[in-house]
Amino acid sequence: MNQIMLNEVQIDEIRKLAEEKRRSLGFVGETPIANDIFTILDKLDIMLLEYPIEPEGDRPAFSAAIMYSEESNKKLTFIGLNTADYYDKQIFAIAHELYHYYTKSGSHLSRPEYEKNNLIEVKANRFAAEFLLPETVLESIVLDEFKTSSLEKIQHKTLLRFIARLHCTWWLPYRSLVRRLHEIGTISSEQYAELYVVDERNPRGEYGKISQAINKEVFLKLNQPTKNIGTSPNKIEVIIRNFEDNLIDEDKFAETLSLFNKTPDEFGYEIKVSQDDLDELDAFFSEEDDDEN
Amino acid sequence: MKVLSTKKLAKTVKSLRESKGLTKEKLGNLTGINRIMIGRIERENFTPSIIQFEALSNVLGFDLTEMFMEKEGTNSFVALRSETLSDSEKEGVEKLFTMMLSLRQQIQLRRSFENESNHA
Repeated sequence: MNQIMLNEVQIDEIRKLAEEKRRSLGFVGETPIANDIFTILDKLDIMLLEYPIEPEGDRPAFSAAIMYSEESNKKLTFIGLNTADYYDKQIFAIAHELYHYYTKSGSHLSRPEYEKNNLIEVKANRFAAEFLLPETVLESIVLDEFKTSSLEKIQHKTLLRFIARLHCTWWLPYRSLVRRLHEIGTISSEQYAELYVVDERNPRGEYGKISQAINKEVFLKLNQPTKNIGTSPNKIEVIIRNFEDNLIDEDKFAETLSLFNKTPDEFGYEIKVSQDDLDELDAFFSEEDDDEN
Repeated sequence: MKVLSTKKLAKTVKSLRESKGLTKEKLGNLTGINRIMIGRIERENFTPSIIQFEALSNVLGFDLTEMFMEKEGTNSFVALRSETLSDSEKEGVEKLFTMMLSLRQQIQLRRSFENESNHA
């Protein structure tokens, strides 16, 4: 399979787009987006839908999908996120979908790791990396730390520690960081190949141990599939307000919340079971008793 | 799945009513629909009943079936579903769409409620 390489013009366009979007969202210079990606979705009025989709066989399930719904001139945007993926990959997948959102490049199931031969997907991946950690920022971090822009003479372990610190600060997946360092020409192709095959998720592996020594809490969080089911708290609030304003009844309230893995009880509402339902349950169990006797 | 497009209906009713030189009141008399309701139909603020719908199509001369369009979201659902590779992906896409449609319904309810509250 031929891997698509972006040309300088395409890279420059993506860089400018990411920079403009970062700035418009209030992320200037060396400010990591990291967990704030979820706040960004709220700001852009994009609704997050979380659901874990387990891989089958050796192919991981899709990472995310952007979905639109238009009715009476009102367009709603949703990002469906696979939460069976590692947390840092979830963040990357959201940033990847933001490229589709900003460039209106259609909705489909994104598989960032497997789409190296699709131009739009390659661009979306590059945008995600640039959006989460701009090239200029990475270059200046490298220069500050090593007093040179070339890391070709730097030892493997030193590089691992450096990447681990970047990983725990910027929340970009390890492999994206390795790719990024190669993209900006700071590491050689040999170093890239050597770093890329590191067992980066294993907490007892060399990289895992180093990362935990640097920031155990963040490393474990980033390597955890969250398996969340739900949506953002402000959208849950819409459902609760609709119930409080009598726009939906108790059953609909409970049923809608359950889709997002929530219960009325969690918000201080005890939904009473009607006498009819209780009678029906009694009848059901007494029938079972009769069958057993 | 096709659904009634309130947008298309609103446009059709307004343009045909005006081209026939009918006031809302006149059209109301001919169809048995209150003139205020005619105004609301033209502003996409009211969905007529089947009987009212038929009366409008008879008086104004439009085809009922042309007011129906492919439901938004259905196409993208079919498109996304066709990309699924496994049963768990299919189930995931269906679940995400159920969540999306449910949330959309709640948002629309909220918007209508807030619009009415503002106009009250």
